Amino acid sequence: MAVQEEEIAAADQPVLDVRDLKMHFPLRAGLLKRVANYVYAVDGVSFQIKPGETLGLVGESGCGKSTVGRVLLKLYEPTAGEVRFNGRNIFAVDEAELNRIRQRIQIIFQDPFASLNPRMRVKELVGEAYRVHTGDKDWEKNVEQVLKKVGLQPEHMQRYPHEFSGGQRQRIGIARALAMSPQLIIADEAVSALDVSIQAQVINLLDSLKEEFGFSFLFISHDLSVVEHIADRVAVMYLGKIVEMASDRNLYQTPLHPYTDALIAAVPRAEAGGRARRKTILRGDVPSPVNPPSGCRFHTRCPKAMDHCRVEEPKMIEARPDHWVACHLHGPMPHD
Amino acid sequence: MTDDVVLTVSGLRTHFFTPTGVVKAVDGVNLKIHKGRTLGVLGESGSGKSVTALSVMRLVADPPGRIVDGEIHFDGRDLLKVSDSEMRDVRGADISMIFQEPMTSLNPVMTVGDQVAEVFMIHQGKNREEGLDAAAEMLDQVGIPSARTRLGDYPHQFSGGMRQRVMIAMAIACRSKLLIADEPTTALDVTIQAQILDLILSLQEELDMAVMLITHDLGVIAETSDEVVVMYAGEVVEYLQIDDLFENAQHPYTQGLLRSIPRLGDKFSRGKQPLQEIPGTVPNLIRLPPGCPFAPRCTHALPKCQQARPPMFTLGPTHGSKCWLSEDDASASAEPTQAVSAETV
Amino acid sequence: MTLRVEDTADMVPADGGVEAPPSQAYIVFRKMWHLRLGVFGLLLMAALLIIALFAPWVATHEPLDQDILERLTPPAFLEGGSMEHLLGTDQLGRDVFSRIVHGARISLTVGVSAVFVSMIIGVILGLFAGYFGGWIDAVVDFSVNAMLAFPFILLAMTLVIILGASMQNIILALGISNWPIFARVARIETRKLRDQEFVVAARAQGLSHYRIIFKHVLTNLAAAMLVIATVEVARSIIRETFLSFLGLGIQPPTPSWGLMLAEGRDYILTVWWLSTLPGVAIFLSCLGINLVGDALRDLLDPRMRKA
Repeated sequence: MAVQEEEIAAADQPVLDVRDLKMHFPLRAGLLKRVANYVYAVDGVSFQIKPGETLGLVGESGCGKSTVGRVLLKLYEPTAGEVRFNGRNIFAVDEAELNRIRQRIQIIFQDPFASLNPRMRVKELVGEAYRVHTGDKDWEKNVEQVLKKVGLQPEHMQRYPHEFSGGQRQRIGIARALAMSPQLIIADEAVSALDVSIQAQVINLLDSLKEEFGFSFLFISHDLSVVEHIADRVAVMYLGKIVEMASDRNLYQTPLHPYTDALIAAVPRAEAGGRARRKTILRGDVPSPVNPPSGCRFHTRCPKAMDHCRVEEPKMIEARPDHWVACHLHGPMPHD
Repeated sequence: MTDDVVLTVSGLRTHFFTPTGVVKAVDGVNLKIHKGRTLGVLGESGSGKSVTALSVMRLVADPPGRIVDGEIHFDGRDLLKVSDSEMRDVRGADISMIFQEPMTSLNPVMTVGDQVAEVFMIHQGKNREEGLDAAAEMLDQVGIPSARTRLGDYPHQFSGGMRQRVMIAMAIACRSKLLIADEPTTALDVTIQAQILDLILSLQEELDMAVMLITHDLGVIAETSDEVVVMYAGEVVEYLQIDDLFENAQHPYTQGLLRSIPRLGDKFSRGKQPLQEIPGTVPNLIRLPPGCPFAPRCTHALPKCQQARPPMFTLGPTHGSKCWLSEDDASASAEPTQAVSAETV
Repeated sequence: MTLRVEDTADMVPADGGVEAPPSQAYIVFRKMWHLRLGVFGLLLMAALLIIALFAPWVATHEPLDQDILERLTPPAFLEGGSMEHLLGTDQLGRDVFSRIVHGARISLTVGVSAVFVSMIIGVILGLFAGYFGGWIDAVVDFSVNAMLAFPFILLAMTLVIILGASMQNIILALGISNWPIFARVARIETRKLRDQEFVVAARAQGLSHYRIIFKHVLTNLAAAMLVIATVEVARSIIRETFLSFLGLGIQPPTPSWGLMLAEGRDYILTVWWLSTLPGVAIFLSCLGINLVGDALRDLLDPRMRKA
């Protein structure tokens, strides 16, 4: 079940190339439902994912990471920007072509209870897309194989979702994503709703599937520890924008953006001597994506904010080799 | 025992009688909480941690749930034996509770000011004006900016973190002796979580309040608790001090949990390795197997483990593990010393 | 003090301070009680169905056979009645029992068919309105509200007058005037379902809109529609009765319950059984259907929440 060759060009062409993606949701008010304001959920996001690479997308609520995941499949009508999948802009194709592209990109959802149709058997759930899109008469064999890969048995095929535990349902969701042999899998908080002991199982499963099938992986999560473990590169989002993007090691060991720093500091550590070590950097609430602050969006909470930060929005620059950050504290790398 | 014990739970059993069978959600739980200290209750879903808390507050829905056995000693009385109206006096005043979802635990059609004031009005006999005054003070104390102007706002006008602060305000309004926090930060962002935990800890210090903090997050336990009880399938399987937890955990479940979580920095110091998972899933509480409930998932299980339920073995003055593997290490004397202990066996 | 916390599931509490758990028998009894009404309703409905299906064999006489000499005889359980005519005869000497039995067939046919018609129209419109939103939704929503505001009986009457009073036309009239009930609920439920993750998942898999609507959304709508349908069958039976009573329903001499009610009106003070007995039949049928509908709702609801 290796990735299909049809759309792969050069080995180093990114599978996914997101350019200045914007998603603004209109807020309607009043009798005539006029557009009163916008939720700037995603406000100019750019990143790339190479074949076989795992990009972690972290951020707190309201940062827009889940919206990014959905817009990548054009589940919302985007406000602006491009999403190039294997070089083709998916926003510029017709419905039929879009549905074809959607077979190559699959999502695993957060809620193992809501993401499976309660009235469909596992066999149908996992195999429907495959059967509809390929017309393969032996589609059930494909389902069997895929279920085995995620640690379920063939006899599970006849059962309904409510007969399974949360962890098992999530495996079904993974099997569903895998059945189409996708090139890119998007995991939207895929392990957040699971118990701690089950999370480990599913994380390990995802890692081994990545090894075996070589798909690219966009891992969206608020859990920094999990993202560190699973991702090759990480992008941090705040209020609709990416504020820092780097390899896992660089981001976690030498964060450049004050928000990333604060985020990492806020994660409670499961180690001895914990209580004394607590260091909360960030005060105040996350501002609403309806009225984002001027200039750098983080300046209202930033412990290192300067006057300039209120005025001008920092651009994303490469401060260290392959370590990008949008912050006035950091200038671009010197060029020879 | 030491007289700074605020709450003692002995032999608590809370069962749910459903058409499909009896769910033994809590089945023989003992724990003890001391004044000014935090007891961390660590467990996953189905462990019985929330039901334990609800049992202490006598908030278990009856039917289908019922506390079928046990004693809960607080302030010189057994809470399971007091009258309903006496319990109402205790709830919200002497013992208060905050929950995971602040949106659903606050009344959406009552202003925040009124809800906090209500606590004062009911428990301290204040009138509405006095109540609102006290409410403003309280909201200020929990860190809500411009507290007085926000008295007239409704819960939906507050963010998740702010709502949790409101809940905390209501909880400590009467300077409770014991605060039960059931997953108080699970639904919050990590930076807000940090603030809320800070708030709880500083209030604890200020009011010399005992805290029972229920969570599945080992990191939260590490940074807030003094003592810990680990729950699984309705029982306490291990109790220990916080430092013991990371250096000397004995029960295979506790050890399994510690090994299965991804920790920041591990990948770079040790190279990426698969997480050490705990195989299997939480057992069905209606049809628990005979023997130790963790045995089916335990990598160290002995034949004995499938047959007989282990008792709690005392491993030290403040450490006990409900596991046959600990049988040989158990102290000859079962008498705990005067040192602070988290559990009476 | 060492209290070993062994497995003590059957341990009696030391001081009996806490109450004993409810016994197994009590739990079973409680479950039965909820089903009891439903079972009773089911029995009534089964009886109705059997009578309707096997009408020619259940009836003792031909429903249209007149026998002037035997007219207005009382039912067997009254003085003057005989086992020959179990429930007496009407003003034209026709056997009341047989007419009620055949009337069951009519009522059930009309009731179920009318609901079928409204369900098909209503569910399809509601599905599309809820799923696509936009102008389809606006139009359907407006139509639903407009039609619901209109007195039903006026609608049905108008349709019958235009189309003529035959059984098919009555079914059509009842069906067409009642689709808003289904559409309204279908629309709202579809809207809720559309945002459910499993529907989003289906879209993410590149499945066509039609497949999603008819496979994923419709199957989850079925339960709610079934509950409404059962109740609407009862209501349609009553409405048919009403139309027939007004002379706009089934035409004589076909034995519709409503018609029998109307025809017996003149004799209500003396030969009271002519109207009362069909009335009892209507009552029992609708009671049965409603009880089953209630039980269905209870059965389907908690399971839907669990799933």
